[in-house]
Amino acid sequence: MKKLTLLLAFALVLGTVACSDDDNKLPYIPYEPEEPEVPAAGEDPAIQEGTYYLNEVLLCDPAHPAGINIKDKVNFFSSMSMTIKQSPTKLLVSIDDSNSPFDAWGVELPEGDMECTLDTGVVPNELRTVDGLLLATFERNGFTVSFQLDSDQLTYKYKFQ
Amino acid sequence: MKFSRLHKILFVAVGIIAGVFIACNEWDYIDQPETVYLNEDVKVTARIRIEPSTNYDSRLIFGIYAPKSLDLKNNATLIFNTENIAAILGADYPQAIDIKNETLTPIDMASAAPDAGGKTYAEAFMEQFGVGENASLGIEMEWVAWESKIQTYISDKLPGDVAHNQHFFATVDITFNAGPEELECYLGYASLNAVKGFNSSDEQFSPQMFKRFVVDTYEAPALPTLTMVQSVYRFGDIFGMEFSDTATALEGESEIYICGRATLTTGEVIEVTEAVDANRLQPISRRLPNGEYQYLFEKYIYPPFMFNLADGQKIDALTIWFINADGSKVVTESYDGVAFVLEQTPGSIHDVEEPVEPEVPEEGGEETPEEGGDAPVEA
Repeated sequence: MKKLTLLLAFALVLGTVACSDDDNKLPYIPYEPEEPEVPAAGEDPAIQEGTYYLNEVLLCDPAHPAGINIKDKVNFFSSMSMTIKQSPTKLLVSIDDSNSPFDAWGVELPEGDMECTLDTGVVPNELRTVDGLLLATFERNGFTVSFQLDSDQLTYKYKFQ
Repeated sequence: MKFSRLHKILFVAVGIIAGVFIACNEWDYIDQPETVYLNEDVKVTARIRIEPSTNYDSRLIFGIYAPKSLDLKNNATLIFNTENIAAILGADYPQAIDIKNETLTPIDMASAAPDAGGKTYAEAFMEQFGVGENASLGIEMEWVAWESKIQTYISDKLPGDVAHNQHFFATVDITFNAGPEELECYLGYASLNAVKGFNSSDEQFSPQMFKRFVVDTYEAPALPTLTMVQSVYRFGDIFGMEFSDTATALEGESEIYICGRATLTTGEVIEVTEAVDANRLQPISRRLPNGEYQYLFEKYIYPPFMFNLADGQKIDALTIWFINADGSKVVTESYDGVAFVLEQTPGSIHDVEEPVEPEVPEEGGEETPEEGGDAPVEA
């Protein structure tokens, strides 16, 4: 009986020590001062990127004012696309028209990103380079690029969606 | 008893007034083409204005008098709709429903017609509605009828014996094929209430109505060998053309290619003569009014690309022709002998407007006539 009493007392002491050890020991959380997120040089935070593909090329003439879609009737429009990168501070646009045999914008567009602005003060909204070149108009269903090639009675429209 | 002249006039007047007020079904309109082409799908809309005069149940029977060769019983589809019944009566009479897009069921014309004294439908229709102006045409014709399986309720009164003074409308949209034979006749249209049947004392029949109907052969206009899709274009544009191989050396060829000769503003001549993919025409088809198809070839070209021009080079004259895959067959002109010389329209966005100088008449000098612009396009 005396032996059992001793064992119980030893167990109680052990339990007490174990419990008190847990209570006294605080978890170690090393202090790391928070650093503000600084993007790498030249990188804009929170950039959203979207690519619009050429959906239609409308050829409008006096007999067909709504236009005939000629995108698949010639073989140089298939790979055309427009990529928009937008951040709170910048709007960058790149257009891939490398297979097109003409410049719809009247000038040869640079490869890669062009810094642009979207003028929401006009309807439809106008997407212009910072140099003022009108790249496209923005409507509910995507971007439209209107241009002429030779005849003043024919108008072509790229529809990027 | 001898009737005076005044009595006779009174009897006629009463008869006319009774006829007007008792008549229940009137044609609002029948929209039927007078001339169609062989095998064309014909669409007819018949709209009936129902003037309810008493309270009664109603179920439509609709008949058409047509040539037997059209076999309308098996060849026609009739879709039935009503208007205004539920809106006017539905709140007070649950059985007063509007019928929506019901396909009417053909009636066996040899079976007994309702309330027709033992006559068949064919006999009852003939007796009631006749043959119109077809009697002298010598065409074998027949009355064919369809019925609605849905009964509704029409009344000129609302509860409390209150007259509503409004019309109901029944519309039947009929579709059938004009068939492979030319014909000329008068199609007859008739409607009545199946619940009342052919009881001649009950005026629930539509008035007689026969409309002229001609099935003719469609003659497709002769296709030009080459047609420009755009009526205006310049050689610095993308523009399209349609090529018909009919009556040309390329008739029946599955692959046709465009070739061309461009004369530049510098006088240099460039020719494209290879049957390569970039120059291949695309086969297209166009549905004609008679349901047949016209088969053509189509090609859109951008001449600076087709002739691989460098920047600054411009085309002054352009002639095209067409070849088959191995170049053994060539078409250089239309079937009536006109060469394919394309002519661009005036008005380029690259034209530079020269400032207009005020005319200063020279002493004793003569006015120089202005030079004309480019000629209009004739492909």
